[in-house]
Amino acid sequence: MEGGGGERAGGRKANQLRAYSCTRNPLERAHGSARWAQGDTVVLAAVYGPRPGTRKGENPEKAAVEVVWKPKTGQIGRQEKEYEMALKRTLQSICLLTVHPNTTTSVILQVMGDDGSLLPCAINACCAALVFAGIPMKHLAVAIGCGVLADGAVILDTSKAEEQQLKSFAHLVFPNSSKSVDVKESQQKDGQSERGLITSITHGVMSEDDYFNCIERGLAASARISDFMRTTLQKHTPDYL
Amino acid sequence: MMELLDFMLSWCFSSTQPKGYMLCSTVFLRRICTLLSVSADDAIMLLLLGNTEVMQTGPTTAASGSAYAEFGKTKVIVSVFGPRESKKAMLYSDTGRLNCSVSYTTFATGIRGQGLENKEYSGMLHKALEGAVMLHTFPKTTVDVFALVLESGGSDLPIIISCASLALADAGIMMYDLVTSVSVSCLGKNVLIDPTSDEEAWQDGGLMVSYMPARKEITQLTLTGEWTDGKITNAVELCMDACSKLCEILRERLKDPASLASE
Amino acid sequence: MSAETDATAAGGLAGEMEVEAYRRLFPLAFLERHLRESVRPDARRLAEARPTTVALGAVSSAHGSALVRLGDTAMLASIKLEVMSPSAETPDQGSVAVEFHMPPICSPLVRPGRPAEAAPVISKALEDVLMSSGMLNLKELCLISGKASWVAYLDVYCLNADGSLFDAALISVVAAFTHLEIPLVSVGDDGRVFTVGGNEGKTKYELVNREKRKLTLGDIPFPLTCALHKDSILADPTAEEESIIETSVTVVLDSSGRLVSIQKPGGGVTSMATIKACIGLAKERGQKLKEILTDSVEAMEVDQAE
Repeated sequence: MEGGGGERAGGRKANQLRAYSCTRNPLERAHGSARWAQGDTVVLAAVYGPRPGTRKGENPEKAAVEVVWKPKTGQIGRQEKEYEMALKRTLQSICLLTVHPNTTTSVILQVMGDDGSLLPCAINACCAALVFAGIPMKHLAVAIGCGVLADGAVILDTSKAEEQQLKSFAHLVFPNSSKSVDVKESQQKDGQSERGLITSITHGVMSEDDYFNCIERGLAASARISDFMRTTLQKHTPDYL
Repeated sequence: MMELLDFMLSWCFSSTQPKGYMLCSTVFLRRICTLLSVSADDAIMLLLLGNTEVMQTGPTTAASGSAYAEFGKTKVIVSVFGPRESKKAMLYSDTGRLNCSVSYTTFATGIRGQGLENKEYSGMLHKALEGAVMLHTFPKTTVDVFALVLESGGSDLPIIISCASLALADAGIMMYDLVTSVSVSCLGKNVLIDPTSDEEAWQDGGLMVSYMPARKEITQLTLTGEWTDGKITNAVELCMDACSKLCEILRERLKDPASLASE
Repeated sequence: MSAETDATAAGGLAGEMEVEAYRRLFPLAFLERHLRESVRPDARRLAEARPTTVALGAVSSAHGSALVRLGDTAMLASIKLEVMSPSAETPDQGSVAVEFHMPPICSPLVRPGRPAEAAPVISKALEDVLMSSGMLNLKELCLISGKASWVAYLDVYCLNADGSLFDAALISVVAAFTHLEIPLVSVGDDGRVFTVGGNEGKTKYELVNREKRKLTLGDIPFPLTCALHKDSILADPTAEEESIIETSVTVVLDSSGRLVSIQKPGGGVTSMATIKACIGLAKERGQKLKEILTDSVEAMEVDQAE
């Protein structure tokens, strides 16, 4: 995972991501779980469901997704509520909610280590856990944390120390690069159609150019993450499938 | 103590001119009512209904019915929701349920967050209204009455009660009659109607009457502090009289809410 | 029933149903029939925001307050200042505590005792935008460095929830800060800092802040939420539109045109062109809001002069 740009702490390049790792089903009792690590940021996601019934206020004609965020220490505050909301809406967008109407799928997310880009890491973990649990999905979601430095340079997959110095940052979620069974078609698609944006959470003042610069860089990196995700998921597919 | 009382009384008299504060002139429709004149006993000195009073229906469009009341400095919004499905945990009931809740904004009182502990008001609002609402007309379901005190300037509970009955009527909930409520404070020899927070803080005794004028029935009466026999009777009559007059104003509002918009 | 069958079934019934019944039974089809004509159920054009009014000084007990109406959405923001000793890390700065409240009166979905899910998320978003926009200079909230500074308690109450709550809340916050007037303070003999009520002539102590009664606001953030349905961009959605359309983008731009925040929590996959269009709409909206805010300040000054 290499890239160009200036030197960062730990000898990383601006476009370089940290070492990613994903463990399949570390939890016995969950219907699907994943441990996802990006450098020292580690989260554990567990999926339970689909279970019958939806909570009051949810649309019973669709499947509901419920997200519980467990911080490493302490109680949940506003920040965690915001994460929960962003996660829930993102997962709702990638799941096929009409397949199991009137059911609830619970996603529980435990933070084990936070060294920056926590929300992107959590989204990637949940996405993998949903796949392991066999929840029907439209496509995968790939999340990336982009930071904008004071001089307008963009760095990817920010660490906590770097986040302190950032002018602003954007957490972006993209759909994974479409790879159809038909190789020809997928190449055409990738070449022509522009890939869209699922979730965007930004913090801090930036110019419009900075933002689209983030998207461009994030999009390029998301292809690498999505390749990593695909190989991980394929590697783990049991033989009988 | 006497000096203070004198000061307060002179202040009361000097403030007989309408000088109420409007929540927001461009936004909320308003109408300044003519002062209600209640014949005053020599012993009973009145300051009527904070001099300025604004009542109207319909500030909250998301609700089935709502009302806004402004009496001097006290500003209250009441929303009514329902009749709607009762909580799932509730048992089947032949009659409807009335659920009341009163809350204060953090800036309602001078000191931030002070007004929030007025928990007993929810129960008292419920007791004042439940006798008037025809609960049998909406079996199994619940009507929610939620009040938010934007600013507290004294006589909060009676204003909440009057405003809530206006909101219930706006929501089309069947009632035997409108409930209006008025409180008085006893300060030494004097009885003050519609007391402000300062007057309430110094009162020797307080009396609040919630009343259905058309049926001539009192739904709630609370009496606190020090009162002498004769004064209580006078004070209750005074309250009932003021309630009837307030009720006329509420009726006018309900009959012709459009006239407010033209002003 | 999927959305498609919904729409076709509704299409057949459309001719023989009352409008209100059709609206409640087939909300999506109802909306789409409007969008086909490039108009919205409340007769607005797609890119048109609802009429917005700002009234300053709505709460008499607060140091700064504003009531904002965005269509039927109503927000009341109030700022109360209290003196406290600043934290050790930032001895020459004041602080702001932001709280967004959704009391049960504002919407049938909120019940007492069970706070609305959206409230803490909007609180957080307001705080983030306020702090990162650079509108406030926290040093101005300092009275005596290291000894005393202001803490601004900012409470925003939603009085009626009809969509685009964050937009209305942020406008009310900005308006409340333009209205904010800092009370006079002086230092007592015992070194305690206290506020002087009203008449400044009478106090025997020296006033600390005779000149600085208003905050100088930097770049002001202006929000616009857009709901995205297929190819349509609906600016400033109502609660009804928000309940039907899953995708929305909230853009906050400051008065010099920089992005303060772009929030798009989930929903459909959106192209960059659409995001750019939303930013464009937010720019236009920012200009309008600026005018509305200036007008409200003038209106208040006229009121006071009378």
